[in-house]
Amino acid sequence: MTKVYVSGVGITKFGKRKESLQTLMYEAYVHATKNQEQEFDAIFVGCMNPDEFVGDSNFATLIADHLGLYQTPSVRIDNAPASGSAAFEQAFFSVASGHYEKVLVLAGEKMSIFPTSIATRILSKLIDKYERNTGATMPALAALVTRRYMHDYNLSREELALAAVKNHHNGTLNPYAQFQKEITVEDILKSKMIADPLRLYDCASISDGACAVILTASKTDVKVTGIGHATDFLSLQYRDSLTSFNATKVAAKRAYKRAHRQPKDIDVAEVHDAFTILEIVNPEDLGFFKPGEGVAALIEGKTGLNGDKPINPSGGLKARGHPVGATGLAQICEIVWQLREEAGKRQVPANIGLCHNIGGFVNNNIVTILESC
Amino acid sequence: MQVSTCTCGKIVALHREQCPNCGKSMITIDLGNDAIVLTYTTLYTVPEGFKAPIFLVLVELEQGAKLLCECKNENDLEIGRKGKIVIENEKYYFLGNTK
Ligand SMILES: [Zn+2]
Repeated sequence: MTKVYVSGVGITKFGKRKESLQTLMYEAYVHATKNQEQEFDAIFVGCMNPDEFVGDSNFATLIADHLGLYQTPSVRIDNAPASGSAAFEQAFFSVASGHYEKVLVLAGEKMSIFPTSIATRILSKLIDKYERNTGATMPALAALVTRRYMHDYNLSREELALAAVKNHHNGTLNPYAQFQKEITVEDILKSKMIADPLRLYDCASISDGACAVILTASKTDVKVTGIGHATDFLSLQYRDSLTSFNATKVAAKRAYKRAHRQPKDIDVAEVHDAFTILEIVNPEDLGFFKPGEGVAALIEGKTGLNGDKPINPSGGLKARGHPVGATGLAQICEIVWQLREEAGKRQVPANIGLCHNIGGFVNNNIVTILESC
Repeated sequence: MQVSTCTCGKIVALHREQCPNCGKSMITIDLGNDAIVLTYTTLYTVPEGFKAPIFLVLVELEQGAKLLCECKNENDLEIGRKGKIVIENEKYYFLGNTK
């Protein structure tokens, strides 16, 4: 298998953006290529739902055309909110196999055109039809998990809010983040109730943004050492545990095996905190902490920028924003910056980093390990 | 209350042809309507076409299958609350036993 390295990475500022999705992808592409003309063997475009969010299909061709990459093979990958990491994964395979030598990965979503109610309806289609027909939304399913976790592990509502407080703090240090403002526990507890006990500030935002990453068979300073991917039952009601996610556990196990690493080897991680409860559960499922101990790790600052297991230095989905298709690749960009010591004020000491991206309601998850070399 | 069972041990609520765990054909059986609340939420921001608030419960049925459904009364939103599943207009609801 050919070794695969990361060359350039680029990202746009996330948030409500006026530009079209292809313009945002072009902006990320210019950052990643440092505006140097380059040729690519193929383009992999991670985007969950351009058909409904922006009204375009055949998006892979649209992007190749827009970027002026005439005749370059281009394919769009939809893997729900794990589209960004899935595009990265497929691009990785294409280089690892020896078929291609240098490929471009793009990922993005533009979600802010419609009001939140319509965006929520589009996102709810990720949920199993029976469950969706009860009225269940993504926040509703996250609330069910939160309630059970609070019951089983004595997590308090105030403690849960600390996940958002921490990630908003990190977001203040990230110029690309949608939210660059500190928030307090009080702000969270005063925000609008969405699905009890989850409030507005417990949920990642509707956002626009794009990212670009170049993968190559030529050696650089960052190597992709392992990718693991796993699915779970579509329905929450089919699953055994309500406080832990098997798709994360299995994907992580597969990634660690590929990279010949263990949870203790990971210096920094970007995890999919679409809801505050996930900032606590994901690190447990990734093997960083025992079940129920994710709360103490958060409170004691172990997962903060000065802790021994910094999580979401970028601000995570909570503060960076969550343009669904872009998120997985935004995590990759952040870890690459951390490994290259280009993360500015949010820099942590790191040689080995991990990204954890969730598709659907935690049922199509990808874990990627990147290392300095 | 219909649940589907498989020789691999998987048991899921309602009728289902193939086992989500192993792909074999499932056998649908009728069980009693007893249920116990595993977790719950009150949903205030509802999708288009629904009326807020929605009381949602995830309950455990007999033999361990789980079902997500609406809860009739807000007072029944409590982990461990015992009750029954009632069916109205082909929709499933949880109704707590009289305390
Ligand atoms: Zn089976």
